[in-house]
Amino acid sequence: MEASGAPAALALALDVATFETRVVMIGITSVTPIAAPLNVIQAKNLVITGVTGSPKVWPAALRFLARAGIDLRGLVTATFDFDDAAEAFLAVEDPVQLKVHLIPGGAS
Amino acid sequence: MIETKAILIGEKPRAVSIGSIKIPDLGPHDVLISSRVVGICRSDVELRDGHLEHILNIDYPIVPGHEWSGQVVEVGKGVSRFSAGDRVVGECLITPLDWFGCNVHGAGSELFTAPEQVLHKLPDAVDDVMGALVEPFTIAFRAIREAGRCDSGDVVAIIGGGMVGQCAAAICRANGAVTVMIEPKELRRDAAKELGADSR
Repeated sequence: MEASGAPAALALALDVATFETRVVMIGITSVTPIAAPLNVIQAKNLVITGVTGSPKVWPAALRFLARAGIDLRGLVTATFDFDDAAEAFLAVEDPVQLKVHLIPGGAS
Repeated sequence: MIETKAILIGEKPRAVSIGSIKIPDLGPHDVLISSRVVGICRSDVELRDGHLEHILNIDYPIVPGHEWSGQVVEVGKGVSRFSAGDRVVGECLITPLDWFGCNVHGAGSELFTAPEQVLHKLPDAVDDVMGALVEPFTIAFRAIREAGRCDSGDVVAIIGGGMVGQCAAAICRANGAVTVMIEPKELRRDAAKELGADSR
């Protein structure tokens, strides 16, 4: 599963895939063209699927999230008040941040 | 018409500021929501920097916020699935050309409206912070479904430990697959490990 959008990683996904791998591309990039070993799609019998957005899966995804007991809250690395939104937008570009949240009235 | 405090992305300069917007009277299928938590996504930064204009018509200033959780305050006369007090989340895509929080005002204001059709109730087990993570979670969830199968017989390599990659790791692990995170940043590899990735 390619989830980075880094041009080199799009090529890497084809490279690391073994025979008959299912490859899913989710990462977003506007860089083009990207050099990639397209011949391996045939040579390794790859099935490649592109995914954008998430229509029609929300009810199932919410049930899964609730039932599986997955706790994603540790991925939130900073929380800002709405008033500090400009600062929060800058924090998003800091490599130590994974997910930045905004809360009206400030962090609880 | 209600006036509410809002995060605004302006046109020139494309800066983030705090201001206010006026919310029109509720249409029959609209829901008035009190914002609880709003996540900032890479595409919000692209919106701030004017990089989404090649795919969307955007009238600035625009209120960002497509990863969010909120609580219903009031519903339009034709709304049947929600009532005041419900905790909700919402899909970004209203129509192919109308994206909530991109070219339609999003959840970055204290109060906002959304059409009933894009809303979903949050299960009790999912709190408001997790609720604001549901949107990226659904991207990973759909991607794994599109792959056709993911179970204990599979080995899944995930390239990229951003939010969607992390969600994918959590889903693959919950499904029992051997899950490998490929990511240059140690902090993100460690996060995947915390979510149950077998290797990093």
